[in-house]
Amino acid sequence: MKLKNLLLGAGIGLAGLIGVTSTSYVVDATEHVVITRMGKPVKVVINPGPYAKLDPNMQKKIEDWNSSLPEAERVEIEYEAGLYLFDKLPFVDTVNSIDSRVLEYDSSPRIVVTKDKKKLLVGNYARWRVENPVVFLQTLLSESAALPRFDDFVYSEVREQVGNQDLIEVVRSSNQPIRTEEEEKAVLGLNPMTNISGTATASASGSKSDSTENYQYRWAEIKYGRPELLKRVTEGSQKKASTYGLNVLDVRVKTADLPPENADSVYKRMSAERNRIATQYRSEGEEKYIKIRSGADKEKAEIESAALENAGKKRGAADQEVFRIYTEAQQQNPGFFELWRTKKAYETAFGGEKGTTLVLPANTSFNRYLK
Amino acid sequence: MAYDRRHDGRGGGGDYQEPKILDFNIPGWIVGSAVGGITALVLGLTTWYNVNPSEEGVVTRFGAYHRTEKSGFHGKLPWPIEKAYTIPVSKVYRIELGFRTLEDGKYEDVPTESQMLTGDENIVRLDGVAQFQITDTAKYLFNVRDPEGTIKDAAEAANRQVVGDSSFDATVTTGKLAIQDAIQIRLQEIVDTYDMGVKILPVQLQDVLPPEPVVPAFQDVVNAIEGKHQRISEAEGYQKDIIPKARGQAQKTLNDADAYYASEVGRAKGEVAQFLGALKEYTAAPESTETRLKIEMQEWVYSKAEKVIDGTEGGPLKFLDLKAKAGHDTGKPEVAK
Repeated sequence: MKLKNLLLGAGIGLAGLIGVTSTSYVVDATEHVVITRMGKPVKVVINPGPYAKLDPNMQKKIEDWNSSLPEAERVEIEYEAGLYLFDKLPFVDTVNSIDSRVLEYDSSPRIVVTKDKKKLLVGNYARWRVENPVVFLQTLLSESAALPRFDDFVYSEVREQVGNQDLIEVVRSSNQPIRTEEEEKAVLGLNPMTNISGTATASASGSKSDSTENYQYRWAEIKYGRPELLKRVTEGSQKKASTYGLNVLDVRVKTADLPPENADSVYKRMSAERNRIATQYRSEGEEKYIKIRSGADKEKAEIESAALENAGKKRGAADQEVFRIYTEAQQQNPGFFELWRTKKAYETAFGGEKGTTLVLPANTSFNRYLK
Repeated sequence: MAYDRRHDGRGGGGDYQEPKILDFNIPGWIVGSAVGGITALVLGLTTWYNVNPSEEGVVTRFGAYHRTEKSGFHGKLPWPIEKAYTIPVSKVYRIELGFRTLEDGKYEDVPTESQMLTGDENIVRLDGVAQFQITDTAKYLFNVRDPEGTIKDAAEAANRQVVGDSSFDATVTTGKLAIQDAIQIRLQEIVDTYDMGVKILPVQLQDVLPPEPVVPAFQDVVNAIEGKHQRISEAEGYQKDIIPKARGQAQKTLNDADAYYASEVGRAKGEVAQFLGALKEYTAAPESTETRLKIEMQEWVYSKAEKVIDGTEGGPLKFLDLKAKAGHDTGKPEVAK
C-alpha cells in the first residue's frame, strides 16, 4: 500500500470525524446544554433527570418563559439527555454545558439581631439548581458568579425574617418540644394551655420569682418557629433567584449560635440553675437525715416507754401480790406476826458485816441478870 | 521510517500522519494489523464490565441514563457509546456530627458543629453519627453534585432543628431516643426534597454533654445527689443501730420486771410459809414461845454487835464518839428494849 493512499484514507476519515463532532453533541446525565449561535441562544436541552421525567410545573414554567420572549429570541427546547447527532451548525454554534444537578451554597455565619435584641450567629446553607439554563447563561454565565448572589439574597432574607422575631422563634420549631416528664408537669402548671398569646404573662398569683419567669419565658408558645421562618426565607430567596434562572430548593439553618459574649451569660445561668438543683438535693438529704434520725429516736422512746410501762405494771402486780400474801398471813395472828417479823428484821438490821455498837441501859429484861 | 517500522500493531496506528518521505511503502499487513489491533483492544476493554455483589451498575448511553444492572458480569456497547458506573449499594455511609475520627483512631471535637442551642435557650454539646444507604443509584449519581456533603449539611440542619425543639434536660437525659428518631425523620424529609435516592438509617447520638464551662456545676449536682444518698444511708445506719438496741433494752426491762415479780412473790410466799409454820407452834404455847423468841432475838443481836452497857445515868457515855460509829449504819445508836 502506498503511503499516499494511506494519507488519503486518513484524511477522509479525519474529515468525517470532524464533520460529525462539529455538528453533534452529547448531553450528559448531569447537565443542561444551551446552543448559542454567535452568542445568541438558539436551543436548550433541559435535563429531565435519570428517569426522563421532568416536573410538569418546571416544563410549563420554561415554556411560558419562552413564549413570553419576542419571536426572534425564542429558543428550541428539548427534554432529553443523550446524543444529538447533526443537530448544530459547525463552528458557528457553541455548546454550553451547565450543571443540572442540585448544587450547594454554604454561608459563613453572620450576626443577626433578633427582635428581642439578642445576637445570634446564623449560618445557612442552600440547595439550588439551574432551572432555566438560558437565563442563567445570560445573567450569570457560571456557577462561580451565582454564589455571591446567594450571599446577598439569602442573608437579606434571613436578616429580615429573623430580625422580626424573638430568638425563641428561630430556635424552636413547635409548641410540643421534647421535654422531660418533670418539665412537662412544670410547664403545664406554670403556663396553662389557655395562654394563647404566646407571651410570658405572669399568672394571677403574680408572685413569681425571677427564675420562674425565666422558665416560663423559655417555654413561651411560639407563633412561627424555625421551619416556618425558613420557608419564608426560601420563598423570598426563590423570588430573587428566579430572575437568574435558578431554583432554590431550600434554605436551612446550619448554625444558630449565640456569640461568645452572650454564650457566657447562658453558661452562668446554666451553672446557677445547676447550683440551685445541687442545693436542693443537699437540703433534701438533710431533710431525710433529720426525718429518719428523729423518727428512729421517737421509735426508740416509744419502745422504751412501752417497756417501762409494762414493767411498772408487772412490778406493781408483784408488790400487790406480796402485800396480799403478807396481809393474809398477818391476819391469822397479828401479835405473833409482829414479833416474828421483828425478829427477822433484827436479823437483817444487825446481820450486816459492819459492826453495830449498842448502848444499852442496864435495866432491860435481858440485862437484868448482869446487875 | 525506521522508527515506524519498529512499532508493533498496537501502538503504530496513531503515527500514520507523520512520515515525511512520501514515496515510502508500508506493507499492507502492518496497517491492517495496526487498525485491527486497536479496534480489538477498544472492544475488548470497553464492551463489558463487572459489578460486585455489594454494588449496582449504572450504564449511560451517550451520556444519558440507560439502565441499572445487578451484580455480575455484563456486556455493554463499546466506548464511546456506553459508559458504566458501579456504586456500592449495601455500604452504610457514616456521617460524623460534632466530631471527626482521626487517622490514629482518636477523636477530635468540632465545637462549631457540636455546640448548639436547646429549646430552652441553654447550650449543649452533642456528638452523633448519621448513616445512610443508597437506594437509587441513578438518582444518587445524577441528581446531586455532592451527595455526601449534602447529606452532611442536611444532617447538621436536622440535628440543630430537633435539639432546638427539645429541652436541655431531655437532651442530656431521657429524651435521647426521641431526639434520635426525630432527627432521622427530619433528615429523611430534607434529603427527599433533593430526590437523591438515599435512605437515612437510625441516627445515633453518642456524647451529649453540657458545655465545658458548666461541667463543674453539673459535676456538683452529681456530688449533691451522691451526698443526699450518703446522708440518707447515714441516718438509716443510725436507725438500724438504735432501734434493735432499744428493743433489746425494752425486753430487758420487761424481763427484769418479770424477775422482780417472781422473786418478790416467791420470797413473800416463802416467808409466809415459814411464818405459818412458826405460828402453828406458837399457837400451841404462846407465852413460852414468845419469851424464848425474845431471848433468842437478844442473844443473836448482842452476839453480832459491839456493846456498851450503861448502868449509870449521864456516865462516861457522852465521851464516846458516836458519830464515827453511827456513820456505819443507820445513823442512830440502836437501843434494845
